[in-house]
Amino acid sequence: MNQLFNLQRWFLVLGEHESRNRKRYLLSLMAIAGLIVGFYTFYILAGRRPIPTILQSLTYFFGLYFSGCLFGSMLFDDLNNGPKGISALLIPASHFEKLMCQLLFGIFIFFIFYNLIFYLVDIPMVSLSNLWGARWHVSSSEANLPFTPTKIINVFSSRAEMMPFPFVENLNSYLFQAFFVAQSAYILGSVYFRKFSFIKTTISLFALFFFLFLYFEIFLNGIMPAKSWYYSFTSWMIDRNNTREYILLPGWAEELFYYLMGYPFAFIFLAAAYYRLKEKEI
Amino acid sequence: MVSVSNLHFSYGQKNVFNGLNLYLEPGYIYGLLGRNGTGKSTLLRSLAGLLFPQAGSIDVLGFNPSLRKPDFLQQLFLVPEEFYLPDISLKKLLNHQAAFYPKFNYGQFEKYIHEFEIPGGDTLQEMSYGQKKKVLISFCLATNASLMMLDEPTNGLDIVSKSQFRKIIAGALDENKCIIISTHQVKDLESLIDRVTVIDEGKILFDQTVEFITKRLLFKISFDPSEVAQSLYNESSLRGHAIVRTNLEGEEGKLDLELLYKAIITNHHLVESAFNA
Repeated sequence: MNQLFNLQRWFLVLGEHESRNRKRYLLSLMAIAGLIVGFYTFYILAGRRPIPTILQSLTYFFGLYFSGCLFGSMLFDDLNNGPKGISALLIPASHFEKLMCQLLFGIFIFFIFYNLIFYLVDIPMVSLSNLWGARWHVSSSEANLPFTPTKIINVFSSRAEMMPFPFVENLNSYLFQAFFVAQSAYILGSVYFRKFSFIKTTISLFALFFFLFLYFEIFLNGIMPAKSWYYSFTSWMIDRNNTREYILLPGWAEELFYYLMGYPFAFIFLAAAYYRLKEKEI
Repeated sequence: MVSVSNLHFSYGQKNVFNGLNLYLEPGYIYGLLGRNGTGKSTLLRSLAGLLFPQAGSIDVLGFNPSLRKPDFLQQLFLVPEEFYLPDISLKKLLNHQAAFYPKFNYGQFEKYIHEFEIPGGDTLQEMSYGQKKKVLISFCLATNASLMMLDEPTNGLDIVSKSQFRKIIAGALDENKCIIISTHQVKDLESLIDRVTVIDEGKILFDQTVEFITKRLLFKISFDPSEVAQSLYNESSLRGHAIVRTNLEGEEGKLDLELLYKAIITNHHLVESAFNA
């Protein structure tokens, strides 16, 4: 039998994983739903107006990032608990099958259920806020203006009005990409760190960003001409006699750079998690 | 079946194994004895591939345990001292875990559960620690894995359960399996093990079959002061002096594991001399 991946054995791993974690997953989903309901309720009662699309969008992405990264950082929690770790590592399946099982639940199934939960809460809450908002509108100081109910956002739409920063085109696609990269980093952190993996991964990511900041602000600034500024990851702006000039990477290089900063980075983190899992000792 | 050669392992500054060698064959129940913190659990975890040797090599069933290949893991079962069982029913445990082990025998599992008097309807989390341990031991034996390792298996078992445990383990062995039982409660393994292996200060201090031990050593109560003086080890009790002496006359005797263990720990060179003579 194949020692790296066998479909029949993988299904056994999935069944075993589901039986072990079903309660935890259900409780987590209920907690996410509860938090969104709580936040929307607070907004409706305090603001006495419909939930705007920008708030839905912010809630969606904040919830996705926070719960997704927290969830990712707990994927390999068992390995940091002696008895649970022994039980998990000694299940007769390959490390690759175990990782794929965690990724299926932690990334794919989590994403589907997060969206399901979000819309299960968002649709009735936005409808409710529209209903109540219309009643409050009649007695408000803006009663002479027409009442505009808000729409349910489509988080997968690239329409600018749905996004928190409407001036950035296709922001949601970047946010999704960045989310999968961040979640992969937290999954790596959950294998790498023995304790407090969420906090330690967060600190590591901040350290990485700080390093990037130093690289751009100190190193690159030092070698660039005077009166020039970092403009983006792939461009630099120079002020020549009040005329702005730009140093740009070629278009294909810029595209490649942003592509590599996206999903390939997630793949690198997950590949590192695989090798770390193989080295795990208890 | 198991071959450990020149194993070195340490936890940070604390040295656990310093050139340990061990060879285990199928068809035996090995009693791995030693004081707390001498590396019994570390050795079992190394054999299971949970810890990697810092130097030396380990071969278990022709595999390098550190790789934790599925074919290796399905031929091995470890019952750790502190163990985890999910919060599910016995039936679900079987449904989700037994299929990983190709030689798992459901009938055997039912038999052991019955002999251990485990209630069938409860989920595992509703069971007491001792009951859970008995479930895990039953599961381990029903896997019919070639190498079964039990770390302090009698901890948490009551007197009746300990006796059931000995009976069940003795019945589970065949010529293709090797069972290693690690414990510091040596009395629990009496009349069960075939081979005594004592580990101390990172090395194998003593490793002999029970048959050979009883040929070479005699365990008895003595009132004869000269016999007590010549013994390899003695301790006074209300009934007289419990002694371990060389079995010069080839008398038939019974192994007193606790006395042997104390003799080895106190002066293993003297005990070894009885086997080298």
